[in-house]
Amino acid sequence: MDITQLPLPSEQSTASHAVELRLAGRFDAHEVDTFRAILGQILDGSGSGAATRVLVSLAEVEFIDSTALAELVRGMKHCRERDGDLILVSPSDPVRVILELTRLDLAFTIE
Amino acid sequence: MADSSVLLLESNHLALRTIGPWLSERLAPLPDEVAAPVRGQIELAVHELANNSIDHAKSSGLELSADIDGDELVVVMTDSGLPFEADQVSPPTEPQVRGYGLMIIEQIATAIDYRRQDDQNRWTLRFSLDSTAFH
Repeated sequence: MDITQLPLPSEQSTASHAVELRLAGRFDAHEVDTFRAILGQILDGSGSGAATRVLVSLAEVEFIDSTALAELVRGMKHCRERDGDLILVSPSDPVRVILELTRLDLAFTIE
Repeated sequence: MADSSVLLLESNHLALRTIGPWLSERLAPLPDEVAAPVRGQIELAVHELANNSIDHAKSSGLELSADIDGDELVVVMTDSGLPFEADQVSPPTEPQVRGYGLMIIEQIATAIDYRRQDDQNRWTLRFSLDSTAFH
């Protein structure tokens, strides 16, 4: 899986506390540790301050499993506990299907 | 039934990536318009079953077989891991960080059978090959 971290345009960002992550390829149990480490750095604020608003772009994700989905839930809960959110952006068909099967499409903010 | 095939997997998450190509081979005798719409969701269900074997049954390895049976694909998974305890599993009622695997399998497969035989877990999943049965 490829993970690209992007700065958000200033008009979408509240101060410096918003980050976009673009995921591509296969997001499965094998990739969860890598994703957790990157998200952890963003949420813990190593470097430029902790982000509370994380946009995760999923348009190019070809496969996702429940372990990876659970990691997104973990991140979403972490952000909401800090009055922020983890937002799913442009989910691909495989992502949309697993969100509907688990009914987590009702729990996440999806743009 | 015909077209039997066996896939042996080591007990690690990376090994699960061979399930997709293996399923594609098993579905190859079918016309593309039949196999293509169903392949992704069948892979997801089999992947989740095998993932549960690794994470929860703590199996040291597992075996998958697949047969086309009329208008269904029948997938059997066996492992020598811990027994499945159905009464300890319930679908999530609010967003949480585990428990979605079986929920996904139950919605994609048309039938699920679990048996504990000779210290082995044996799961049989049946999948419709009619794409209108899928999400």
